[in-house]
Amino acid sequence: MKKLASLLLASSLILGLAACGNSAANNPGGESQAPASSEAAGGQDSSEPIRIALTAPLTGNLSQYGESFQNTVELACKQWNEKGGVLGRTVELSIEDTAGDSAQAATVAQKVVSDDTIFAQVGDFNTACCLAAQPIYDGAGMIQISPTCSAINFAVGSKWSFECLGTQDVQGEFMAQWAYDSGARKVAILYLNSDWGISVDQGFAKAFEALGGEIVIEEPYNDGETDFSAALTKMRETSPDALYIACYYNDGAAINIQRETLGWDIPVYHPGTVYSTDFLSIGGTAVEGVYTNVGFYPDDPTPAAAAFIEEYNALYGTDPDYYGACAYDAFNVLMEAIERAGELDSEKVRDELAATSGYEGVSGSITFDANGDAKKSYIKLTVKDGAYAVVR
Amino acid sequence: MTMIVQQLVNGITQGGLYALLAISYALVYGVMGMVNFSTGSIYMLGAVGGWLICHFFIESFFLSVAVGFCVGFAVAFILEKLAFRSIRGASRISSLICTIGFSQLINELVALTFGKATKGMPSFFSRELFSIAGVHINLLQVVLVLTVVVILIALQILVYKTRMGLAIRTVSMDNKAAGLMGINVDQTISVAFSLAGACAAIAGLAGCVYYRSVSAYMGWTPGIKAFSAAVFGGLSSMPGAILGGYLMGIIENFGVQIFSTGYRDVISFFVMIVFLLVRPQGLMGKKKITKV
Repeated sequence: MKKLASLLLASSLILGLAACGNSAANNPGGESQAPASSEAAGGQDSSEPIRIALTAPLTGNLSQYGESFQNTVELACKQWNEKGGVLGRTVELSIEDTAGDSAQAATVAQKVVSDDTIFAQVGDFNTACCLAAQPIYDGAGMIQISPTCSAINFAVGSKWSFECLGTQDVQGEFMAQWAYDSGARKVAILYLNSDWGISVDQGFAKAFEALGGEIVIEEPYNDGETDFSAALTKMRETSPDALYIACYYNDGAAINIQRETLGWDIPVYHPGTVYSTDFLSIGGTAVEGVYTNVGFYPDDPTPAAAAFIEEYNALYGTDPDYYGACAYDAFNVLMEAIERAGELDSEKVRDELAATSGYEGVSGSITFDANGDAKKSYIKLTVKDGAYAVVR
Repeated sequence: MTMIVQQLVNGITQGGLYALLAISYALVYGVMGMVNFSTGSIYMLGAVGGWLICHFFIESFFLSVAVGFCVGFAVAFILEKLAFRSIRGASRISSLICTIGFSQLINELVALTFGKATKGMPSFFSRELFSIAGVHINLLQVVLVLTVVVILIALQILVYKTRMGLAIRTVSMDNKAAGLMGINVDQTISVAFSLAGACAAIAGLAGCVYYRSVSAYMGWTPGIKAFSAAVFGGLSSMPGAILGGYLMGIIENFGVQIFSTGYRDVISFFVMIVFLLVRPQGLMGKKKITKV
């Protein structure tokens, strides 16, 4: 009996390890089969596909965003191939999971640059991963185009780095102006203590103070924190007119819930990261009336976006989110740049990419500035009766 | 002053969750001399159980508590029978690793079946009860604090006033001698372990109702913090674990007030380390005298 029990124990432990291993190492995309040929990507052999690496958090806390990246980029890739590919060659994705973890992002970047069939990289989702991978792509002279890295120190850090969301300085200015125009003069900031969160905090604070407003408190919180009641109580003491909370959707919902539990009724502004249907379903009544922004709003799309939403919906049965739309655009501007360059030469494609101007993407118009940051426009959103609504 | 009272209320609500978890550690440590690191996973299972009830059957807080209790009790019972019984008496390190392994197993199984994304809980008792001089107390906070207190009292009665409790206490003192005195040691350990699981699961349920969210990985941080709280209070003492849990919650909240949310864990662990340097057996633990 004892032996049987220990046998069972051992096998269940192995199962457990296998389960962890699966979720971390397996590639949900399943598309990164190693190509048989070792022909360099730069080669002009037109029978070889052009391979692009997509790095995204497919597991872990940010997996919702990673999944969205994967869906939209796969869609974009499919559309290019249906049009006959790029430069007459098919486009193929190599999908890599970085789990939102900067250490893993660096490892993945090493893997990508050492695979000479890969021409360029699209990703990652979060700033920490983009920054960790940046020196590796920079050293290898590989184009790194992040759909969503909005930290002010990212794109400027390497001539090979681009981002399609617009920096936190621009978004911060937009949100600061909005809060100021709505009558807020004293704002308390709660932000995720990460590269991204700090840049959101600074982007907003700088702009709001320039307008003549006052930041009464800047409170950081660590990733994985679940209890915000102490921080909120502390912020309440400073009696602000409004809150600016830099977080992702799940923390955002938790913070608003605890704010509601504390009976604190105050205007709340979030950067666009909370824009997600899960934010509404988890937050419920607590997120009613909060303000945020997006560059892309499926209920009120531009003509370019309307076609994209329709195709996406047909394929995946749901509406794409903003970050997915950015990933779709990132991939497309890269493909356009390759087409314009006329050959697979990193230097030439990089110059063409940098020259992208007024590209009508689904997430808005994209023009890269000298640093490689996109200049984007934003739409004001609020939550009304459990749904997002445009603030006019 | 307003702020101090409000932080105290926050700390007591949160401390109650830690207390339930800490007592779960203390019960297991008492009868088995083992630290059960799968406590955090059972915490999460209680929350998931409650979520399933609210999502598929009926949105009832008390039914969820009952289901949480059953889930925790059953899972811990099975775990003990299946796994921990066979390693009883093995070195502390191997049983420790085993509990961590099971914690991973449970978390990943739930992540695979339940999904990795955070899910929302319905809100219960969300009405504001009263607000005096700027101190806001929500009905939910009161219900949670009372639920925790009732369970803690029930547990004290069980351990100190019943025959089963006597058996548990005897086994904690010396399980060999307890066996010689005619106590069914296996059964006693099984009951204590299952009760510990039930406590952890109810804590998880209370946590998910309070924070209104459930996810497969929600148990890790509270599990670790409650373990520290249990050590702080004295791992071998049940009242100590309760006190440790509440103090941990309160210290954390005041730590945030004085320093910053980013330093929350640093502050609570700092206090704990300093305290344990002075009093290694914890607040209410007894010094063990080893005879040669």
